Amino acid sequence: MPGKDRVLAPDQRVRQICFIARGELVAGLAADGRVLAWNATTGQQAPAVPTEAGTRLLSFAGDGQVFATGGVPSGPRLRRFGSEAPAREFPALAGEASRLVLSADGSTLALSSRDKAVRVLDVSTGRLRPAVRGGIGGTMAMALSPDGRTLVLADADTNLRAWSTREGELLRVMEDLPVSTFAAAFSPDGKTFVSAGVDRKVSFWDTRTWKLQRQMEGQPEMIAALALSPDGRFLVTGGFDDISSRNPVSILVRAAGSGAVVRRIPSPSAIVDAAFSPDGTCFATTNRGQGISIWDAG
Amino acid sequence: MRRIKEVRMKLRRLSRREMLENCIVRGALVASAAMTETQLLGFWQQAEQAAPRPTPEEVLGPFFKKNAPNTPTLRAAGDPGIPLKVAGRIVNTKGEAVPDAQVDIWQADHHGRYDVQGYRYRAKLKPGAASRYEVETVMPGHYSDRPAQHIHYLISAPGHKTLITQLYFATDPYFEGDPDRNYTKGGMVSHRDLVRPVLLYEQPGTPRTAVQFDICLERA
Repeated sequence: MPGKDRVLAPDQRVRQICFIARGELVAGLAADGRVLAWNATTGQQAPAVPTEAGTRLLSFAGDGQVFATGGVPSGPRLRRFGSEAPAREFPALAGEASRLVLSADGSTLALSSRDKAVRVLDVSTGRLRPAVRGGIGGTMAMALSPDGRTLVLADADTNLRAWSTREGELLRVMEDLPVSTFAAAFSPDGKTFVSAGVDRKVSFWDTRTWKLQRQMEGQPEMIAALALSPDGRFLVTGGFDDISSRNPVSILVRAAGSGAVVRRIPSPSAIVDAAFSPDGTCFATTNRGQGISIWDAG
Repeated sequence: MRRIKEVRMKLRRLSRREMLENCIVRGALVASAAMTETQLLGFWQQAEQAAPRPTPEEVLGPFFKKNAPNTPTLRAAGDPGIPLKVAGRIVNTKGEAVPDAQVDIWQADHHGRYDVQGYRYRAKLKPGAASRYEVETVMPGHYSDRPAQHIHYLISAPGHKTLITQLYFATDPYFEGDPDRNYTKGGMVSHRDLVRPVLLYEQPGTPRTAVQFDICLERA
């Protein structure tokens, strides 16, 4: 990866980004519902992957080659880069889908809907896993462990709920946070769950005991996006100013262990998403404006 | 979804009319042949009070905060904004007081900003046996993501379904003077009943506002 900051796709508004093809490409969901990809170095656009009109949700498995799309009445789909036809079509689920997440190993797909239901699908069989539930407020963020066995739901009631996806067992309700979580991720080794949101802090949870281990302060804004480097050593966070998402904000790169700020980057508007390259040398962010920014991890 | 709500609304209207018709059939109205319009209206209101409809639901939104203080005073001295008093009762679908309710109320300040670090314009009220609540606050400000002024409510009571809802204001410029027609604008408001009339009055030279917002909970 050449260590130089740059902007890809300056004329596109892209969400849910991910490095794919061993880091050669950056892919994301365009405003028109297509999944687009660009060469991370040259910015040259790769062929788009056709999706159903109105596709609003996208989530990538660990290597980015396999991804899930959703938010259309016909139901979620599993797709593969370089292949026009969906690899798997899942039946339509009741309720309008609001969030979708695919586990890093590609085994498990979780969907939340606006009617506050959450469903878990076994990707290989296409069958529904046992029912899981969020709180009274509806799901604000969710994350699957790398092996797909644990799902954490962050609810607008401010609680986090950890579920085993195979047994449908509620492992723990974490009531420690007084405000909502907007971004959540598991560490690549699955041992730590990381959450961030309205309180501008990053919270680290032990996934064995589900106890809050520590919190990292320093983000000036509410946090809406977070990404951990593949080796788990670095953390990127970004979010939005509470008056307007058009106000400038800061992107922070920190050491996950000490919290030491490695890089602080100004962004002209709210950060929507962040993703690390597979080798951890750079990361990508998108904001409320257009384009994908590629940054040296510092 | 909205179509279903409209159908439900019509059904509810029908049931109210049916209720009145039932009253006539049972002789309640016939007893006084020369009943005036006011009396009829009073009777209607009584019938409505006897069987209020459950308060419609709304979304919780991203800025709920736990553990707010139990205080009826949300407005501090010198706060910008039009003073607003919101009062109401917590009742069940039979119109009876619901004791031991807990009412979380939160809103943006006059500038449209939620206090997420502290507890300004946030309260968790415990109306007790009287099941009446009253808060002194300011008219919430407008903000770009949800441009209609609103106050959030989260109400729980033993034996009842927890209700998440929002209160809107008929005077809000967002409704362009016609909430009946414009409450559906932008898909913001789930139900016309949540847009409440606003009483405007003057108290030692200051314009003030008041809103009555009764909450009707369903049994769990």
